[in-house]
Amino acid sequence: MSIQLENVNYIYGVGSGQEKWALKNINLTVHDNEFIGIVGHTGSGKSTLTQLMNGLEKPSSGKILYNGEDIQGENFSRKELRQKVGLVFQYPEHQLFEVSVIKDVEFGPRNLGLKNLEIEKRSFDAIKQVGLSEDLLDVAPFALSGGQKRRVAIAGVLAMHPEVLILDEPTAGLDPAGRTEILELLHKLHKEKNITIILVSHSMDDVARYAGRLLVMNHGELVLDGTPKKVFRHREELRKIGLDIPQSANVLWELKERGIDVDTDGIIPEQAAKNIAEYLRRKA
Amino acid sequence: MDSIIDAKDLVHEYSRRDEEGNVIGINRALDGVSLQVKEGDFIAVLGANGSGKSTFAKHLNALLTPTEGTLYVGGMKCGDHSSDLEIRKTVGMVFQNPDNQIIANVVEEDVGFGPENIGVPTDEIWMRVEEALKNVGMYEYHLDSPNKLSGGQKQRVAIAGILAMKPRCIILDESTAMLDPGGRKAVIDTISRINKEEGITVILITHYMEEVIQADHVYVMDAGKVMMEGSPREIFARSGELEKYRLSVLEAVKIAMLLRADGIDLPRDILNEQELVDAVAELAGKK
Repeated sequence: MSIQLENVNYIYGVGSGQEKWALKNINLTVHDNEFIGIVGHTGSGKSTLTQLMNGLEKPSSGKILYNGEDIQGENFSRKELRQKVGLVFQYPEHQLFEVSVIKDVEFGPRNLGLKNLEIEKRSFDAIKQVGLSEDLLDVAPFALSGGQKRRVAIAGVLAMHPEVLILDEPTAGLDPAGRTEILELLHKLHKEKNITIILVSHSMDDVARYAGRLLVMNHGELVLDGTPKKVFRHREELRKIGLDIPQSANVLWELKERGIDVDTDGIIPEQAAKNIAEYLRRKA
Repeated sequence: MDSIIDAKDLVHEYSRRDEEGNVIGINRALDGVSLQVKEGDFIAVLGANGSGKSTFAKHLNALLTPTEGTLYVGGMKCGDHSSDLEIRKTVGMVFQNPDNQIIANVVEEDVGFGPENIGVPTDEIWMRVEEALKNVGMYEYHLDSPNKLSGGQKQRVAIAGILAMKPRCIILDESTAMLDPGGRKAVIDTISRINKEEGITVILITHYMEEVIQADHVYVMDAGKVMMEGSPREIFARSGELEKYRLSVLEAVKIAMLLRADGIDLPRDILNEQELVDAVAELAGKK
């Protein structure tokens, strides 16, 4: 599996005299089984980018290839693309509408025209994968907590058997434990099911811990692309566009600026603590 | 007595009903909450989703009435509805979703809606609108359509709408939950300045730990009860308990805990990045 974007531009309001570039000359390849984080301000183009990747939006110019095939090509099945590249919107629980959890999860696979037995099997498996109890199968989604509803929404996409799962701020509004549970779920789907994960997030601490690759968007442009450790070395550049680095990295840099010769290569608390401890022991 | 909020053994029960409307169970959302808030204080109520923190907030401006216990707001007793309007003038509430609170087509008209409804004379309404919008740093948008504003800007307009009613207390009921980091910071900075400069009591309901650092006093709720209370520093030092209530500590506090577990002699009550950096610098002799 791969998604390739070649010179992709996306312009709103073409011909209205108020054109707005949502995406400018994006070149990027998503490889099989990556865990990618996308960060950037509100309005930086993150959401447009994800909607192009599953064919929901069409680029104004440029090409998008799925496994080498142009997704705007005449013989390309965009319906299949949307099944292979699942998109979980922000506040996906607002889109739950069925009378029970199981029916809501079944909605997607049912639309694929699968046999009943297959639909039930996939839906049941998906509900188990997201860690929801079987007791909830017949419960109305509205009776669930925020975190549970969000799991139902993710299960609905998983039941389509996607190769890529794109999530737009899946932890927004959840309490700290709920956030960790969703992120651990993504981590598990990535490791155990080999699903490619693309996570749009505002939390530098979260992408530092979970993503293997990080994309930074600013005013519609892809400004940084690399491992989180590499990207977060660009502290000044990120600050200029108003983005933070993870707290752990920030602590190490501030120590460095105080003349403390600590290894600044750490972006999660475990690494930062290790680097600080090593420095203090070396000094003692 | 100088408490603006005085809750004693407050209980709130929701009935769960089946499709025919028969009561099939009772949820105790608040279970014996007692707390006092001093006028002019900045209070934070922390709690996970479903902990009862929003149910508590909705009692403070008489949107909900207590099932048991007593609640006095600005000296007025809640529950018999005789003082509801006065209570709502005393305590203003900013809700979670910025898009559900703005009703007018122009920013200044939205801010004027509140004072108009409580019968403020027209000339004074416009004075209050200008003052309130300046106070939240949104005056330059006063003739704009709210549709063009970001989430954080909309919440600041909502705060201005409350300020224009000149309340003694403002509650933010998870008002930052749907905002991005920049919007969240702008709202928290605004509300904390209003607290300091105008002396308006602030009650911040949230599950973001970084927002409570500036509070005078923090309450942690779980399962409808107040489980912890203290200064932010005292609360952050009890991270094990916080995790039990589905909350967490800041990453800087986590680093400090890991270092202490590793035998490094750091203070137990580190609150933020700056204090961690200072403490490590002191150990390294680079203060």
